[in-house]
Amino acid sequence: MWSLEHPFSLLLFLILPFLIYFVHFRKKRGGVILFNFNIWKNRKYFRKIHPGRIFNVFFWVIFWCGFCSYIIALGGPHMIEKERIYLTKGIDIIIVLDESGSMSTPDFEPGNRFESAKRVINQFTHSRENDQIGLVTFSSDAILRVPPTLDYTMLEEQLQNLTLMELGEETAIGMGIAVAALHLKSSRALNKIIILITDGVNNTGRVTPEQAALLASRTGIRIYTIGIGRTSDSEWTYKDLDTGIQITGLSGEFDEYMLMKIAQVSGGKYFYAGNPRSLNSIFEEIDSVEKTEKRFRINVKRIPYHELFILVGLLCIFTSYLGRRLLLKEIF
Amino acid sequence: MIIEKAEYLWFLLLIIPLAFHYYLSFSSGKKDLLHIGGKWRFESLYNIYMVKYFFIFLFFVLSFIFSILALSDFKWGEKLVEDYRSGYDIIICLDVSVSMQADDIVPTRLKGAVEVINRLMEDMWNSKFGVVIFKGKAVRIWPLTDDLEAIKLFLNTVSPDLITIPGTNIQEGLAVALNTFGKSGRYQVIVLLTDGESPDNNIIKEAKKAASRGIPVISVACGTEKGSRILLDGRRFVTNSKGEKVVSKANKQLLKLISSVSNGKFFELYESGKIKDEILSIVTRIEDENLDRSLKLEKISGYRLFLGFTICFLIIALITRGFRWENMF
Repeated sequence: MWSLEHPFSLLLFLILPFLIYFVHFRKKRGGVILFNFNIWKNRKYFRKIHPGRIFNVFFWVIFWCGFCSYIIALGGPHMIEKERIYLTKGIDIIIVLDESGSMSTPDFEPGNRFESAKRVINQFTHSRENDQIGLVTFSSDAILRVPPTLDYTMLEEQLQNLTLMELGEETAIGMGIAVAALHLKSSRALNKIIILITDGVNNTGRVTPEQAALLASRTGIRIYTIGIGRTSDSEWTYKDLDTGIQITGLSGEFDEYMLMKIAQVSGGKYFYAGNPRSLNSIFEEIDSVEKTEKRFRINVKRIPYHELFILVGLLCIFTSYLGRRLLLKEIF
Repeated sequence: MIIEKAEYLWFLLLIIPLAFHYYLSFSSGKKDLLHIGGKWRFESLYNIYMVKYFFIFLFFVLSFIFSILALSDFKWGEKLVEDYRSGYDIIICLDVSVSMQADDIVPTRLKGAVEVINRLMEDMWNSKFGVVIFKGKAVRIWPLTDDLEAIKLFLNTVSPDLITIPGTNIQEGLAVALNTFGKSGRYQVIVLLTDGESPDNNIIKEAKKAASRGIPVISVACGTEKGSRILLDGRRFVTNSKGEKVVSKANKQLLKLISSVSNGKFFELYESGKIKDEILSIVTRIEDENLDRSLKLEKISGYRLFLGFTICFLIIALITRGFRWENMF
């Protein structure tokens, strides 16, 4: 929204008609040499309109535009931007995503489990406002991709760049939870949650999922677990775009009992997502459950624009001056 | 008094060609006057022409000068304005170029810089930190986060090998750091750790951009002006095309300039304890207990005064031109 800091300055516009009259329309104005046409002895004299007059009008219009621009600049034009400043800290969330090969099983139309999960996580981050969200992925090992942050664009970028099996072919659920818990441990947020998405059984890692969950629950972290995929066996194929190597496998059932236990130990909840729609609704449910009181203040920010108006004014007046002097050969 | 946009003052040089043109125009105008006005009244016309010409030129140039002064944004005096910000967002902008492996700081410049960052994180544990590293290009490693554990983990592994493009692009480092800040309602600071060996001339432009957003750049010089050779792999030294060992020297002048332009401060690596105090001193807030709000001092821009004069002189120039003198011209 545009606004003026000193609107009374615009009163200067009132003198504009007088000035224009004084400079252009007053009969006995200066800067003009008068000729007495009586020497033609009452014979009629027709003054032809010279084409140069159009340019003259044009350059004077530019001049007055520049003058108006100066007056507006004097009024202190600025843009008002309102921004919401949160006074309370939101929830810290780390999403722990399985990137083992079985996540490429194409039973989540239109893509596979992994792509569906990425899409839903993206939607979820868009629905949050003041909550720091981080990302941990795991297969044979676990790694922090993005620490809990309000910079959702970086999270989105990292999600887009994720590829399967970067960290191996096995499934280290315990390591995933442990890494997420480590990075939430020192968080000062009142609510800390981990959302774990997996389709497999923990088969590697130095920490078991149960141990990691217990560790997390001690630091006040709740874990929501989501078992993804069909319960029956299905075949998957994954082609590594860099090496061109194609890997095929059979995705078995995920360990539902373990996921339930993790959720129970930490005070979270277990969900089963058999298709993309149910995965979506699970995230919507987590979104609606995990709400904190949000107190915020609207901060009004003023971005000054007087510099632009002065520049426009200067440019107009200078162009007008040069045009009249150099093109029209005006004396003054 | 400070001049926010001193670069506009260069426009004042335009007065020289303007005056030259006025002189030429005056001479040719004299001839035209003779042709139009006729010989019989030339003398009286010329006298008026000369005086009017001088005054119109004078007032026009004065209006031009004052409009440039208005653009340059002179600031003097201070006023109290409300300040809603609280807390700090600090972006660490770390040089990981090969010259940071020089050992004029023991064990290396890079390790010295990492120590400074760790100390700063301990001192400012309540703040949010982000990390940008740069070499031939800049990369945002971590966005603003209060997960200091993640930053410490990264700093343990930082090395020049993280970016393959050679060089020291401080400008891009600052640009990426500036883009990392969001709308947060917190005080924002960039801590630049580099040896300053950068050939780019646009660095100051970027520092000015930071200043215009109210973000000071605190620069920490990693290295000495005496310099040292750069050790690669712990065995061989970096050499130039002639096979001579390259000596890397810290460019402290550049870093001092970056800091002064952006209203930050310059520090030596061994002064790491003072960085916290400097960040805290950026905020000269005055707590107004009665009104339950924070206030800060802001410099007052004097552009309206200059612009007022500009308009006045322009009007006077128009009136001088518009008045018919002695009923003649």
